[in-house]
Amino acid sequence: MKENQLQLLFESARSVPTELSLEQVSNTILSFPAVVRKPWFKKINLNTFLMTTSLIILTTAAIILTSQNEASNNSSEIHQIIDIERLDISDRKLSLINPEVPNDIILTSPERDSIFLYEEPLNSEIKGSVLSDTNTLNELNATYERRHFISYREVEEKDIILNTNQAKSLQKMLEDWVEEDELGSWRSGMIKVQYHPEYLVINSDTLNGAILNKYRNLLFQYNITPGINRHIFSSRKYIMAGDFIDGNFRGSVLGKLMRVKITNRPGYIKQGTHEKRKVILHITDFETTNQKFKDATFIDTKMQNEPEAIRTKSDPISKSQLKDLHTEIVSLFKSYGLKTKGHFKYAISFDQSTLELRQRTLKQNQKRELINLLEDYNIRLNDNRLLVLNDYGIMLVEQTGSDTNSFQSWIKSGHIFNITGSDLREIEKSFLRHN
Amino acid sequence: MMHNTKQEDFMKAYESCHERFLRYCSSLAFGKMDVQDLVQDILLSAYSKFDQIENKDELLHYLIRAARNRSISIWRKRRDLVDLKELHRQKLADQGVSPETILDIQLLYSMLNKLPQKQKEAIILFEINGFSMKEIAAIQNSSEAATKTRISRGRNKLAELFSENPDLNLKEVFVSLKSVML
Repeated sequence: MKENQLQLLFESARSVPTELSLEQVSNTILSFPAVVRKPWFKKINLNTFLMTTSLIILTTAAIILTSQNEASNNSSEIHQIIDIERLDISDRKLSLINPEVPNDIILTSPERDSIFLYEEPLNSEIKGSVLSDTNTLNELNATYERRHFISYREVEEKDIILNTNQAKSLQKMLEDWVEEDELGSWRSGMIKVQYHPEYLVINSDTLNGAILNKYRNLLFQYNITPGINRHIFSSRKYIMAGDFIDGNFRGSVLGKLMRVKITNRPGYIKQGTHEKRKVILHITDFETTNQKFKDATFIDTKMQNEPEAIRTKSDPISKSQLKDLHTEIVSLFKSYGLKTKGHFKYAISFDQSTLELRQRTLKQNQKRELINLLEDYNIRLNDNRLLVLNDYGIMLVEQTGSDTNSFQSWIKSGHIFNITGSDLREIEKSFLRHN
Repeated sequence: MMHNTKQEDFMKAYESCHERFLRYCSSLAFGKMDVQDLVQDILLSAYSKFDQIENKDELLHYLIRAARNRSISIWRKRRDLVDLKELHRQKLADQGVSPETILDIQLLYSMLNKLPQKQKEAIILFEINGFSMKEIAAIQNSSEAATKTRISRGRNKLAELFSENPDLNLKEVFVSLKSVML
């Protein structure tokens, strides 16, 4: 077909009148129903509404359930504690009828939002009432041990869980800050922190004011809240942060493990001396291990030996303790610049009021540090004792009346103290003469 | 009244589109569907969405696109049910169109239906409805050059179809003559 023939066909199609006239279309348009704009609520699709509502409900439920699960994970272990506490406080009879409490109940302190007791410390009235309940139960010879009842405060605390990086970071921060704030020399061996709800003690200094807030904030950054039995021990080799409860440690450790002795006496981390008979509350003996706990290992090491009674005046200090004391004093004196090779021979005398290093004059803070160290080993100022030491050994001597008793000595092999004398002064001279 | 005003506005916009829109619908619907149904469907749709058409000058483009889509939709549903060629022939005859013209138109639409959809659409819009290349390109969302090429190829294809199917032409002519004469 030729182009012009095709154009003729198109021309035919163009010439045909439209099937509907404009008038017909107008009538059609006018016949449309009076379309009124839909009200806004009719634009809401029921399906969309239902889907949106369902989505909101599901999301909300998921959030609530997730938070509940987190809470229940943590609280599942403490239901018993909570129940027991309820029984303790409100229903003593019931607690006495069913005195079987799992032994590990004290070890499963819950992780939950803590009450920041340093903001609003528990006042003495509340504390008193809790303890009075406890005493009443004890008087009734309840099977529970006292510690179960004093755990009232403990359930408010968060367990200390540090991962490796956090532990290292805290170790470094404490090292820097303690040195900067002159709260004790890092070289002296160890930083000791006691973080009680009502006070914060670092190396025997009770903090207050701005410096107190500074350290609280630091610890808060590591989720460390105050606790009755909460301590941090840090040296270059290790850091331990946690709760020391009846010979058990609960917390995080990084580095070479160590032996720790603590009392619950405010301001000191040492053996308690203010009670006639008192167990050494917290001993964790890891000294033979060099194990490093991996990332935030949560340990619960029970004391290997039974708690030992704090020695009375008549009890001799053990050889192993004396050895430890020697090591610590040497370390301390090194930090003071008192340790030079071949000239380490010192006698430390102390009576009821003071301590004196015969050969050198100690600064006041050094003297306090040495007193604290000795008290850690139950060697008190009022014991009227003499401590002599050199590179090779240490000896503790006590004079009672006219008698002079050598408590104990620890001597490295091959070196023997040959010290005699009727009083401390003679012994001291004799020791200093001895090479 | 709001809706009366809307009808007036719609009518005002529609008047300029009427001729070309109706011719396009007739081209699409010939032998396949009732033009009035198609037009009514499209107008109702356009009227309900008239508020959403920002530029009222583009109503024609909207109507053309709607007609194309609607015709395809209707044709898919009804292709096996009805053959409306007879009806359309009758309507044209009623309007005073000569039997020769009706025959030409019928042949033309038969061949156009054998073209690809876009080619057919472009040729109808250009040759029968008188749209410019630019307008067709806008309706088909393509460039003017592509539209030009499409129309050119469509014309060539149409010429080939007419040349290749003389029997069809004779048959179609016979059927048309029969219907017109009777």
